[in-house]
Amino acid sequence: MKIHLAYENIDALLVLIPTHRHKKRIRRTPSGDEVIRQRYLVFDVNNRNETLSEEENIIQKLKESDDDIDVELAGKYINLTTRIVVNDNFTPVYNYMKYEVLLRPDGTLKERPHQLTLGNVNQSVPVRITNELIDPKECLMKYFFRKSYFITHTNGLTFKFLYDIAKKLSESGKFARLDAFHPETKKLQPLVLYDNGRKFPRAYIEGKTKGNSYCLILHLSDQELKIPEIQSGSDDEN
Amino acid sequence: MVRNLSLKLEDFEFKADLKPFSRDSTYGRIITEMRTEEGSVLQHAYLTTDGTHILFSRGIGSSYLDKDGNQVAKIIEVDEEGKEIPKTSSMYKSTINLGKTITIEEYSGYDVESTYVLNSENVEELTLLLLECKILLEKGQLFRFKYAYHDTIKPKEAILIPKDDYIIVVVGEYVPPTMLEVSQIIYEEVEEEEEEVLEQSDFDIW
Repeated sequence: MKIHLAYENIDALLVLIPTHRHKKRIRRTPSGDEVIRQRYLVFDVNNRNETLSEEENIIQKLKESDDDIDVELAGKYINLTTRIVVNDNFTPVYNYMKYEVLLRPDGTLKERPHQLTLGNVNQSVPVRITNELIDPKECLMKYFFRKSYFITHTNGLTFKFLYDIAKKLSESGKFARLDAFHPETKKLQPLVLYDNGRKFPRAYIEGKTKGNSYCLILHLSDQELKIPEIQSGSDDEN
Repeated sequence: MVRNLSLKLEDFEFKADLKPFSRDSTYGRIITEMRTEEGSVLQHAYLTTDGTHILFSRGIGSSYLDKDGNQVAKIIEVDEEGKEIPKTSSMYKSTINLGKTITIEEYSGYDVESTYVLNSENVEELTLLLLECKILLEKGQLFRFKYAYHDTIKPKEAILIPKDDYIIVVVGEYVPPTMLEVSQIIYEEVEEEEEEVLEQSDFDIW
């Protein structure tokens, strides 16, 4: 992923690498042999619990037969599937509208037509490193940071650009706030990495240097470090 | 059912549980609905490549096959060298000793995956732990322990953060900073842009 980043009077196109990269899971048989994952069909729409439960005397039917299992289908290997939109009769629908429904914690509902969120990190208006510096402790105790990315150089030019930023931040011992802008209106807006991606209202950059090396980390937050009214829910793994 | 953790700090030990909370519980949750012109709500399904079956995600299963195509009853996860990755026992199975700490600088190397509030009927002990967390934070440090809900090969870390009268438990994984080097340095000048004073965007999701 690329980011168009500006600091003072310089801007450059750079590369973002997730700090927490997904590690490939290697699975084997207990004897160490390779395995492959195979998807198979369990039941189709005709055998859904919701469909079956509409039938009369379903409990009796299930006791007497295996209506819930289609022996001709169950276990059939399937490979790729395509996600489609269906109506109540499971007929594909191609003409529809998308709406966003907001359920607030107080139980109120709001809705509006779906709005496409455009990514704003790699566009003509760069993401700007502001002069607003914040103490790391204050910053980390104010927001939850969900995602972080290493900002990396692509050549000697961008290396110098990033090294200098990292050095300034490292010497100040602070994080700098980043501002992202709407591609057309140029108004300030939350940072969005890609189209229809998550909005991050706060973005900070952390810099470190060691000899001739640097490290610049982009920290993204979509949640303040505050506790909502404590819920009565259990501690199930979420 | 509430599952209790057994926490130990120096001489005192007490039971506590984790109450989950998320961004949704603070700001609300947005669901995207698909509707027909008449207003009927539609849903997603999966069409097989041969076009003969419409499935829902619960209608798709998966299993592992060996090189001969036979189903494998048990699989293990291995590291890059082929060694089986050992499992970490669930944190609910033994007492958690709060002896380990991380610095604030190290905390910035975590991506927050889930958040909880530490809750206990032992109010006195919880208050004592909160006080200890606050003293530690003054020194720029935070308590941490291994987080494993079930027995797992991928345990996370839980960090205790004092916030007002509560202890927030942040779960995530630490990744150290990667220092980058290069030998060639080239300079380039870009036109200065006009500075603007702008208001920050808020956290409201609507």
